[in-house]
Amino acid sequence: MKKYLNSKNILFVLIIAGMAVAPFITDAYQLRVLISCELNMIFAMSLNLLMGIGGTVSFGHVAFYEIGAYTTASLWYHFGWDYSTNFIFVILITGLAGLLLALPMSRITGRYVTIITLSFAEIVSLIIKNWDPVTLGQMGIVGIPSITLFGMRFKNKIQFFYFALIFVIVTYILMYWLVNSKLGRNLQAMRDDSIAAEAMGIKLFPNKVIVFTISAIFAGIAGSLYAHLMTYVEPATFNANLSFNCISIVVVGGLGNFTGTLIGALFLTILPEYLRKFEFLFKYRMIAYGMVLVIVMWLNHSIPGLKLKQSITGFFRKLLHKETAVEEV
Amino acid sequence: MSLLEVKDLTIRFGGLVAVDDLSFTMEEGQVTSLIGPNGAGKTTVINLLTGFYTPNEGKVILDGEDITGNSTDSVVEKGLSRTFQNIRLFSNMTVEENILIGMQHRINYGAFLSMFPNPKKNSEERRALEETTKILERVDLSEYRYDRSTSLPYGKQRKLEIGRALVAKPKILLLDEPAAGMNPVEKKELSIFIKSLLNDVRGILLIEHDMKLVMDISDKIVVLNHGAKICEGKPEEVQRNPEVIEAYLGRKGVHQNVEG
Repeated sequence: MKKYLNSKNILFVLIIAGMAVAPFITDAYQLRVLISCELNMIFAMSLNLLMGIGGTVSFGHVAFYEIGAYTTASLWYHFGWDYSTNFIFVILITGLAGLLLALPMSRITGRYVTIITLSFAEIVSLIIKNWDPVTLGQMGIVGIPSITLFGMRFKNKIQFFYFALIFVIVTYILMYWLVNSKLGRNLQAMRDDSIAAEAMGIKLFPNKVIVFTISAIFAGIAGSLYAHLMTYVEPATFNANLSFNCISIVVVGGLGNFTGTLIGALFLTILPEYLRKFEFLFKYRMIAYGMVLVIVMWLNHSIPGLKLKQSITGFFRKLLHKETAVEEV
Repeated sequence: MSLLEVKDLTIRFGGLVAVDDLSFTMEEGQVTSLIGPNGAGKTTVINLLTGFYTPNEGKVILDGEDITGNSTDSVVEKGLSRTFQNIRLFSNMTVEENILIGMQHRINYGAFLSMFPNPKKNSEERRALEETTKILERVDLSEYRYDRSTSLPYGKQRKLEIGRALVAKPKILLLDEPAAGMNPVEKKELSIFIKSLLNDVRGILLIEHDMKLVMDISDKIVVLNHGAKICEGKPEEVQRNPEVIEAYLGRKGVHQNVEG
C-alpha cells in the first residue's frame, strides 16, 4: 500500500472526492459542464499516455474520439443495442484504429508524426462524412438515448455524472499501473533516447503499437460517452479544435503527469464556460490556445517527448532571467 | 574455443569501406581493446556486433553461436551489452529506473500483465528491485537511487551507464570510450573499476583513446586504421609495431622512433 502514497495520488483522491460531492451543490448547467470535464479528463489522459509517456505528439487525437462516438451511435441506430454491448465494440474498433495509425510510426519521427496524425484525423473525418449508410453522413445521428446498461437506463444527468466519474477513476488507476510497470518504463526509455533503448534490447515497434492502441481505446471510450451525453453526433463537432484543446490540457497539466491532466481538464473546461459571460474574452480564447500550441511546436520542432517539459520550463526561466539561462550540457 | 570470434567482417556505406575484412578473437576473462586513430571504424565495429548495422560480409560468433546480423534485442539476450561514447542515459528517469531498463529483457512479464497488478508482475518487480539494489551497490551509486539520472556528476553518469549494461548479465561488456572527458584521478579509478568488472562478465571489449589506460588494463590490443586491422597482440608488442606508430604519428614518427 505504501508505494501508492505519493503527492500525486493524494491529490487525485482529493480531486475525485471534490468531484463526488459536486452534484449536491451544482445546478443542471454546472453539472453538464462538470460532465464535459470528466470526458475531457479521460480524453486528455489517453493523449498524455501517448505524448508524455510514449513521446509521440498526436495532433489528430480527435479521430479516436470521433470513432468512439460514432461506433456507439451507429450501433444504437442500426441495431438498437445498449451501451454495455456497444462498449465492447468501441474498444475493438478504436483499438484497431490506433493500431492502424501506429503502423507508419515505425518509419517516421519528429515533424512527420505531426503531419501523419493530422492527416489521419482528416481521413477519418472524411470517411465519416461520406459513409452515409453507416454514419448518416452530414446529417449526423440524432436522438441517441442516455446510457443504458443491461436494460437499465440512466434517468438523469447525476447518474451519468457518477458513471463517467467511475471511468475517470478507472482510467487513472490503469494508467498509473501501466506507467509503473515494465511496459511503462520501456516506453519512457524510448521517449528519452530511442537508440539507447534499442541497445538495451527494447523492441521499439511493438511498444509503439501497444501505446497507440491503448491510447486510442481510452480516447474512444471518452468519445462514446460524449455521444450519449449530447444525444446526437455530427461530423462538424469533431474538428481539429478538439485535438488542440486536448493537447493544451495535457501541456498545461504537465507531460506524463496524470494528476496534472485532471487539473488541466478542470481548468480548461470550466474557464471558457466562465468566460462566456465576457463575450470579448470568450471570442478570443482560441488565440490563447493557439499561443500555447505555437510555443509547443516551436520548442519541440524536432524531438517529441519530454524534452518538451524541459524546454517549456527552460523557456519561462529564460524569460524571467535572461542572463542566468545557461544551456545544460 | 574463443569467447568471441569475428571473422572477415566487412561493411560498406556507399563507396566507403568502414570496416574492411576485420578478424579478431576475444578470450575468456580478458580485456581486449580496440584502438586506432579517429575515424578508424572502432564504433562501427561495436555497432556491427550489437546489431545496429548488418555486415555486408563476415561472421560474428559469440560463445560458439553465430549472431551475425541478429537484431539488437536478440543480441542483448545472447549476451552482448554496450555503453555509448557520448553518455546516453534515459534523462527523465531516475537512477533506479535506468538500471531497471538495463534488465528489462530479464523481467518476465508481457505488455498485457503490465496493465494491472498480478502475482507474476509483483514477484518479478520485487526480484528486479532486489537486483537493482545489488547492482547499485556494485557501481557505488546506492545513495543516488531516486535521483534523476542526468543530475549525477559526469563520472557517476559513466558508472551508471556501465551499471545499466552490467545488469543485463552480458557475457561480454562493450565499453565505448568510457574515459572520455575524465580527469587523471577519475581515469585511475576507472581503470581499477574496469579491471574488477572481469568478476562480473566473461570478457570486456574496450574502445579507448587514452593510451595509458589501454596499456594498463588490456590483455590484448587490436589496432584499426581506415577500417582494417593493422596489428594485434599484447600491449608491449603493439607499442613497438612500426605500423601502429605510423598510423598514430605519421611517417616521420617512425623514423624518429627507429633512430631514437
